Amino acid sequence: MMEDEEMNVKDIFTEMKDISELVLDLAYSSVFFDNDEIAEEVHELEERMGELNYKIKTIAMLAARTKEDAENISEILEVASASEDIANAAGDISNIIKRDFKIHPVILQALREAEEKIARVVIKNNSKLAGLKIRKSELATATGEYIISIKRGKKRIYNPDKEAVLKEGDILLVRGTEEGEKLLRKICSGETDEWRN
Amino acid sequence: MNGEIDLRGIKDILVDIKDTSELMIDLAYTSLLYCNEEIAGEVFDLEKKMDKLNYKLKLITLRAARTEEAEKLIAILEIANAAEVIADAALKIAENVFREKIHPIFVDAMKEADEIIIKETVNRNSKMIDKTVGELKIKTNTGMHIFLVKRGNDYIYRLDNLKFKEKDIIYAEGPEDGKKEMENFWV
Repeated sequence: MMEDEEMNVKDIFTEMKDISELVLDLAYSSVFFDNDEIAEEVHELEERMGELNYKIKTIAMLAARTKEDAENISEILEVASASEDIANAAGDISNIIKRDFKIHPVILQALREAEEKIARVVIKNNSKLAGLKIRKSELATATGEYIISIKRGKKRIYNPDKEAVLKEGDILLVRGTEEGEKLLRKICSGETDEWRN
Repeated sequence: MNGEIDLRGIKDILVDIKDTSELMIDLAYTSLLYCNEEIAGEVFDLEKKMDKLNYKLKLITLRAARTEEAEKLIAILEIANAAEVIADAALKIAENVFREKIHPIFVDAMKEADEIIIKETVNRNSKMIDKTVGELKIKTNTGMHIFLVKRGNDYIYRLDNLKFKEKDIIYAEGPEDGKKEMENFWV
């Protein structure tokens, strides 16, 4: 991630869009796995969105010289604030966990039947994934499973970089199809070596 | 349904609400990226659908409180509310399409985002023809999620049983590398 001072409107907007998608996945994951730690991360990302929205507004205001500028920029600010709304909605979802609400089993059933399914898979020692960079692993394009986060020991890496190397023992939080999940489980357990396109 | 507790109904609507709210975000950004008023119009229609779903979900959830522990049902209402906020956010994004012009920054930013949106036409010799999304296993094989098809003047987003035809215009979202993998399908 670049230093905040160097960010321009486009960089901020791109980060906001990415976070708004990540944070929703995390929010549903926190409920699905009843996981406080993920709920806490949602909360932190929600705060980050607040900061980014403030920053984009400040930069945009300074940049506007004419009425036309102002009109163009207000459009960007609208969309930026919509992505902050999405993050806030995600925050409300994960608050279910933070406030220790009981979760009715129909919610878990619904999350299992939804189009995009969340799963948690561990990379075992004989899996060919261990030692591969995410980009090289071709997981996204060859299984349809998208890595939301990696838990390594006590650390959790969100929206991991494509150059990050996967390791044995990593716990992947992923989103994809039922079929993709089955395939990924075989890859992670070492049952399958061939999956790349 | 008089007096009966409809847990299955709650589950079905929850699935619909989650899927629809996510579809709306994809459609909203797509409408912006391609400056497409018709797709923005679909977002408006879906927002009305979300309102209805939300009302229905709240009603059957409250009814369920007769036998189910009320405390366990609160989370359902929280999710319903959040989905409503997301739908409104999608609407707020799509509304910009009806302005005079779209700021180029949107297009630049969306090209750099983690997940990109692409638009392609199904070729005459494509292996997609007469097959459904499920049969082709496109998401599993390419990472790209097809969420919208334009056929003639119609926009279709209920894709489960749709068999692709020549000249269908397909909108898909996914990782940048997925774009290359998709080429095997439409060509």
